[in-house]
Amino acid sequence: MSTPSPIARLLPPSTLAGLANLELVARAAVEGFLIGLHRSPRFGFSQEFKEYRAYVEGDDPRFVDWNVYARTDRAYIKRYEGETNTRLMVVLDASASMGYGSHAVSKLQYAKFLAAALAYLASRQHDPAGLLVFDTQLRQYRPPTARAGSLLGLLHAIDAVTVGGPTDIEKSFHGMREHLSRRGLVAVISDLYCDPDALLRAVQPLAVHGHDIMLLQVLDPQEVNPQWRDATLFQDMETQERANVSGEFLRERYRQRLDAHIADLRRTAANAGAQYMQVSTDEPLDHALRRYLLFREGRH
Amino acid sequence: MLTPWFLVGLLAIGLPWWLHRLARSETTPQAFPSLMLLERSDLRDTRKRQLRYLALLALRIALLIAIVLAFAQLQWVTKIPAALASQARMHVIVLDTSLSMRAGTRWQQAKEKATQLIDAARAGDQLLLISASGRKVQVLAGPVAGIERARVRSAVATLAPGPERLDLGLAMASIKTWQTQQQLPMELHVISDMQASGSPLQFADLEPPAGAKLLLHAVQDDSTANAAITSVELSGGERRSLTVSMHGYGGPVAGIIAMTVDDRELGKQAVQWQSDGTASATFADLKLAPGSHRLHAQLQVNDALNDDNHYYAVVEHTDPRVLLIARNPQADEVAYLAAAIESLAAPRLVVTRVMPDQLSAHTLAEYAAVVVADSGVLSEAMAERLSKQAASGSALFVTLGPQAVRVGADPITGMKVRELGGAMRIGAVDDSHPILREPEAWRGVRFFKRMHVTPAEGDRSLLRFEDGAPLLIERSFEAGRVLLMAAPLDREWNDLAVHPLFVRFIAETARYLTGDDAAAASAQIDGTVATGVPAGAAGQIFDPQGKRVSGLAGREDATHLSPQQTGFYEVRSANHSRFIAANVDTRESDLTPLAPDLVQKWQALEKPSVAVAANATGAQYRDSPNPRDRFTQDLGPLLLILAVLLALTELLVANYRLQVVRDA
Repeated sequence: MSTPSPIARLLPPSTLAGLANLELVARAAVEGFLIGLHRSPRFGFSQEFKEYRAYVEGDDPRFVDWNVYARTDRAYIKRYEGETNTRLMVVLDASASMGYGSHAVSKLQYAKFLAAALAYLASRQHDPAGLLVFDTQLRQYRPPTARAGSLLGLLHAIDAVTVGGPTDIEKSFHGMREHLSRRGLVAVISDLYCDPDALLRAVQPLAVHGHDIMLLQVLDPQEVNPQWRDATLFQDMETQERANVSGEFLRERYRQRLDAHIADLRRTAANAGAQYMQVSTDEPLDHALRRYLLFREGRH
Repeated sequence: MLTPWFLVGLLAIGLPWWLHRLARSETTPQAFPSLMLLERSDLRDTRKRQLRYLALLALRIALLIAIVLAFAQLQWVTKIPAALASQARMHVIVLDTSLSMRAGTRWQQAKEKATQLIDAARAGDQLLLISASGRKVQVLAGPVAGIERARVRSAVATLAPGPERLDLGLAMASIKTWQTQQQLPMELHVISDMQASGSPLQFADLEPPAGAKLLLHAVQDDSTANAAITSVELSGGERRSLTVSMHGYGGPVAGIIAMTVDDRELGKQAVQWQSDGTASATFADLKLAPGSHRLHAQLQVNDALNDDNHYYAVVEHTDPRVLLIARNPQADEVAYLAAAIESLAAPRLVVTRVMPDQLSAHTLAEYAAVVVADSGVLSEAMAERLSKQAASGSALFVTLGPQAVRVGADPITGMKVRELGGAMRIGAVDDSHPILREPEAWRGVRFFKRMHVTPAEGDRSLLRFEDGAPLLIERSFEAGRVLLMAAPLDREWNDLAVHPLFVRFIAETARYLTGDDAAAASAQIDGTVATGVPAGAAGQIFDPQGKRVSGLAGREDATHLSPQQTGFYEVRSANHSRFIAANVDTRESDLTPLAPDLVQKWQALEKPSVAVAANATGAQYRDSPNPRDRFTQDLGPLLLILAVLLALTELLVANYRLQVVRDA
């Protein structure tokens, strides 16, 4: 039996939760799954050259093609296939329900790991990455940028996110539209406790606008397979409403309801032109990233 | 069921029932991200929870039932077979627990005999165990059915002889007073060493209770040789030597007598026994400092009893002082009084003369007696102080004089005083009083002027004039006393001061006032002794081990003490502290048993009773509706043990169950 690499040992969510530095978490997760791939990934962002465009102020000088500049005395920026999708915008759900966790890692914490890992991936590709945080409404916006040092700022912003109030996905997404004027990849990380129709109304305008939308539903293992066997009094973390639920429902019918809800979400995502992926907070982060990558590869 | 009202406590079972229901309905809510996918349930799934708590509920209910039944004094009643009931007897076992039972193997024999008797009792018999020593004749166990003999046997096992003396007559009289409506024929077993010194003055006092069959069980061994210290006395005019008296019983035993004064060893001497079995040892040339001293004589000898080899005594070695209060210390009257008091050889008294205004500089408790020449010179405050001092146990000798006549009353006793004219002689003398031993001589004293005082009820007039007017009055002041002379010792008033009687009278008065202390300094075990603490005054008594003990009338009373162990008891009161020596009764030291013929006579003293004599076969007992045809066993202790076990189990189960709930 081979000994797992030091990085691999860091990847279980409970271990990552012990790391105070989110950058280290992201790096460990990304490097870990890169090692597992044994080849150069594309991450869903195309590396194929497409065209040149004139350099404008604000562009990263690293992407200037100096050969062309030497020949033509004009600065051009290399553009690649799919570059229109490379603007990564992480949309992070920070509603109260994301604070739930039946083990060491809450859903929000896991979502932050995912967001940080995606941002780190984008950074490796020199792609701009931004952040949108919402609950009842849009709470925080950090525009996408690929400048040197922006990753650290983004990771700090992700790290500082805390749980807020109830979820209103339709209103929140409505507020995001003005910040998502340029097309790109929108990674929505949420537990998606919302009406699928509302989700459709929220996501569809973005898809129509040309955004590549990825819905990552983060669920706790206790939500997927509840361990309560007896009648239990539950309290909604967002509305504080209480309900007594029979053990028989928890053991049998709850799972049916959840599966139906997930099926609705998948259908809604397909109708809206988005992709859907479910992640459990006890799943190692590199596994989740690998699934994500395979998912993206299937699309491209 | 002795106290069925406690069964009302069974209603408390409803409490855990209600709490369990409450626990089911009021559970702590579990946080969940969203109720969106959950379905409310009106019918709660409590079946499993009920099952889960069922054991806990059952334990709690069982615990309450056990406690309630224990307090209700639940009893287990077993019917005794009729054949056994008809032959039933009441076995009264009297165990001698006096000091002499400590000798040799007597106590061991007594316990074995008692155990044999207890074991021999049949299931339908009744057992009653009584211990007898000193004034304490008490029931230790029973009456219980023979089948419950274990309780009586354990009482015997924990019993031990004490330091008291047993008077067999007193013991039998006490047992007779306890004889109630016995429906069973009684067998009275007396287990004793049958000391001859324990026999009563009247042989008839040994008579057993009516109808009782007396069975004497003598426990004796060869350890009859015993020696004891009978007294320790200060002797000699100057009280400078100690004499220890001893007595040997059953033959001389070689030994050494050691004397300790105030925990300091004074010396040792070999005991020289006389032919009559007595011995004495003298420790001379004592250098005792003034004050109270604790003497402990110890006879170091190998004999049957150890407790009587110790003797404790308290002696006062001091030159008592007398305070003489007079307006003019140089007056003739004062000179006469002082000279007469100081003429006493034993005790040698020292007179301190003070004027009234100097009284505040003196502590009255330091003086054995106080003499006031003409009490009219005292202020109210002075008189009150002297009265309080008398009440606390001191003695006062007061003469009246012209000042008292002027004031019109004696400020100490409050008696009205007025002057009477006309010469007169003494008419009546109370010659029973120790200071008035020469009644004829008093009739020769001439009184030229007189005073009239009115004694109060309870006052004792020791001297009276020919017309009956009192001259010398004694009044008790709680623990102390006051002698009032209704005349000055002035030659202008009478010729008492120049009469040959005078010196002896004053000297005897001084001895009487100083020598006879209100409280004794020694006592015998189980006796009663006055401690000198006035009634109502604060006082504490500590036993030889330093533990506080109660007086005869309770913890707050320290006026009298009944010592229960040998050694020095300390009595502390507001004014002073004193010791009382407690010793065993030396009559217990003589281990000689009663003569066999006397024992036989005692055995023959059976007195048939009207009721029980006709009931020798137990027929009356059998025919009567007698509760003793069954025996009851109190289940209270068993139920309490069960309650404790249930409580522990409940703790464990509750802890386990609640832990599961928390984890869920």
